[in-house]
Amino acid sequence: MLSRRDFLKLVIKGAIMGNFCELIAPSLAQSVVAGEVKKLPVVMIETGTCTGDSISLDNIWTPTFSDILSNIVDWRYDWSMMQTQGASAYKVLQETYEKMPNEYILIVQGSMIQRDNGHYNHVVFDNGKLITGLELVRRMGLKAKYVVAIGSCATFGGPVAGYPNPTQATGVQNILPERRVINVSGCPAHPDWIMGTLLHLALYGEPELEKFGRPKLFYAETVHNRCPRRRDYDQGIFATDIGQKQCLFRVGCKGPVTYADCPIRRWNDHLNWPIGCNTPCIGCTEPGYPDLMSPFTAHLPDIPFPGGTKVSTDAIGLGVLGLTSVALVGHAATALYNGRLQKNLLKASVKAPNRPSVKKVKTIHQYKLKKNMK
Amino acid sequence: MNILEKRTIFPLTRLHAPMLLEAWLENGEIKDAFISDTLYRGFEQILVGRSAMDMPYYTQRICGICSSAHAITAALAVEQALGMHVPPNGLLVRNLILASDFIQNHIRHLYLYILPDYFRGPDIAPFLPHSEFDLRLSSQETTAMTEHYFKAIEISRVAHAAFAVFGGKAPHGHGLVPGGTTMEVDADKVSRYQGYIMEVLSFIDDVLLPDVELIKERYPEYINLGKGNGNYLSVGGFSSPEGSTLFPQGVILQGKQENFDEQQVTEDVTNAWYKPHGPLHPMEEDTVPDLSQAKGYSWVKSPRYRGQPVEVGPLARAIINKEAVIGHGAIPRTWARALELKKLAKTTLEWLNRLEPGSKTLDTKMEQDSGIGIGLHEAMRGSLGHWVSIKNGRVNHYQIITPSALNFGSRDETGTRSVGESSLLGLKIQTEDLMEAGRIIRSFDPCFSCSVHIMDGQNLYKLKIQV
Repeated sequence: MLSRRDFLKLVIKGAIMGNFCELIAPSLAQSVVAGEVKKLPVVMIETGTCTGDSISLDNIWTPTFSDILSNIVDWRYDWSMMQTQGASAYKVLQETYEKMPNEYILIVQGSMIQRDNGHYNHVVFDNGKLITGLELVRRMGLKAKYVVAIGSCATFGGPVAGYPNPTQATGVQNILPERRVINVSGCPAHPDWIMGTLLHLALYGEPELEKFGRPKLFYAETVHNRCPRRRDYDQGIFATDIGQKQCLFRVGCKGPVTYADCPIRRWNDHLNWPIGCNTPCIGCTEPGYPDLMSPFTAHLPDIPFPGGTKVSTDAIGLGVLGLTSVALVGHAATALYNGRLQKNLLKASVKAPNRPSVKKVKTIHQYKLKKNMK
Repeated sequence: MNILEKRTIFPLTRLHAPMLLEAWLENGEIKDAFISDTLYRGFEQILVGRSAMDMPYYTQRICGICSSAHAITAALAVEQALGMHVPPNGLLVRNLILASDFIQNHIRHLYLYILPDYFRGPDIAPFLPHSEFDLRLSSQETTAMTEHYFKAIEISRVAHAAFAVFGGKAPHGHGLVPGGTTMEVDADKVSRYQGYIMEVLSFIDDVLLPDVELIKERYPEYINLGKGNGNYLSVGGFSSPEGSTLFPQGVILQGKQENFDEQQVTEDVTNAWYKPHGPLHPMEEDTVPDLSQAKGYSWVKSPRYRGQPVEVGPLARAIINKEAVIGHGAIPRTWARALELKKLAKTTLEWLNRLEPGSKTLDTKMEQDSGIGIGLHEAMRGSLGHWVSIKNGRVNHYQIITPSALNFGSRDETGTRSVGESSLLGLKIQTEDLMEAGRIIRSFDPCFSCSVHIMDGQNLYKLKIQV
């Protein structure tokens, strides 16, 4: 069996080579055969979702989803795939809950809809009673070995929780405070992120998580830091409209505040990704998505929050919006101070004396100057 | 008045998002059926106030399997409102993006959703527990079908890779924006896209079409079971730079074909959980959820054309286009979908040939910053419409009518059933879980994440059923 250190190496290697799961899956399949690891029992509950994460997971390149079903995962309950329907489908869920406590992994896809006690979203029919998504996720979640939230909706509320949030949607962690929820965010989440997290759970248990509960394996670096157009940014060469080949920072790219490994992992056959498609990153893995990232295709500080000046109800949201703007502007300002942007942007030739060093602040996504340095 | 037996099936599996079926049976025959969507997300409310240029990205999040259809419809609506013009190359690339998503959807729908109704499947999840009902394939054919099932998962992701060539990523691509598409056209991309499509085409010819033929042979009664009401609608789609469209535009009402008139589309909320209003055009109506509506049983409104429920989807498109169809029931829907799949995959090769490397695909010039726009385009499951009004670059009204709302909407003020509900009437039932009804419902390819304003069933049971 792989050691944890080997696993982490494979994550990086796999991201670059584009075959992460192929590298890791055979050893897992061997482990399953050898009896070291059991086939993972997984139940998937869909709540307020577009089912995009299921589709994204079907798109996994290596191993194929067929391999995963046959060799790695015991995909017990998933209403978009099960052969039976109605009561006999629900029975599977109920049996898993009763006979395999602390053994199954609960995957939640979709936001938790809270308005009117969750009655805007029903998911199963139990003895003449409709059960809300909220209730089912809480019931299943308390007895699961791990709870994994996939997609932006399940992790932080996502597009369903966009202003004015008509259904009071929120992420799974908020309705399940007793437990740690592993957040695999993204709109949709990359199949490698979902499968990699599940494989880590199968082989070594819980992966190391960052402050928003996302596995550091995949969410440790900003898109901006690994972006192939970073050179353009550093030299101040900016696109003036979407569809151009330069750095898209000025047309709304949220790469500097977005933590994900899209630039090296890429999507669908590891072929392309949003910035590769000459469109800005819209920050879909971040807790602030989509409101703090709107408008997607315009530079953030220029345009106010949806709802215009009447946003009295969302003062807090505005505050955070301010932070995101400050983070983006701050980042540009820092780059200016560093002398990286000045060549083209300011057309100045004077180098700043005593370059201030930059440190990353942990609590908000922002670069800040150290105070006591000039 | 007889006493009917009530069966509630929930969740109805192998669909997109939740669907609740309540059937009323007499002597094993369905006398009445209610189809209800149990999820409300309120996208139309969320979209108000946002930047119009973001609409293709945001509306994609309505549905994960047909994201690009929402993107293109939103883009068309915004373009009309703001006076934007797409360059010819952009039109072709758009078609290519959307076509690859169609191909992905049709393959996935056929193998992952429809076929598990007809063969046993291996002893692994998600085939456990097996549904043993009415299986007519030999063991050899079942083994082959299982192989094809797993192969289809792999092929549908190849189609999504073709999407990513010009669309950036799939699902929820980035390439389709108001004004055209963002990806430049060059030989590398053209050959990649072509490579993916060739792989898919050989799968369609060698595996998919024979499988559909086999199911058609073994289940002949499903050719006539699950017929719609004879009304069909298609709003057209896949326009070429010359203005012709691959999918036709037209309506068939009670056997008579006529031209499509957008003004005849209305939505009614009598039996849905919304603040009541009469039948209104999407430009005038609003979406205000109200759980206290006593007559409500679904989150789906009831869209009507000239006051009548219509069927949409590949079968409707084939009939309006005067192509040969084998019937009007469950299997003919699947059949039409398979043929459409092949037609689309072949047409993408023509579009690829017409692309001009290096020429413009995007034009973001706008004539005005306010206006009214209507986007109509055929999606995978049928006709999709976005109605938008934009003021100073921001959305101030947004209404969406989705194909699944057209097929499975709630009853209107006169109590008329949607096509989906009426297709179940008279169906003979043998199984506890109503697998027969499942076969028919799935042939429509319902997708309730799409029925955007889709609610609580407490009131469902209070309904008085008149027999």
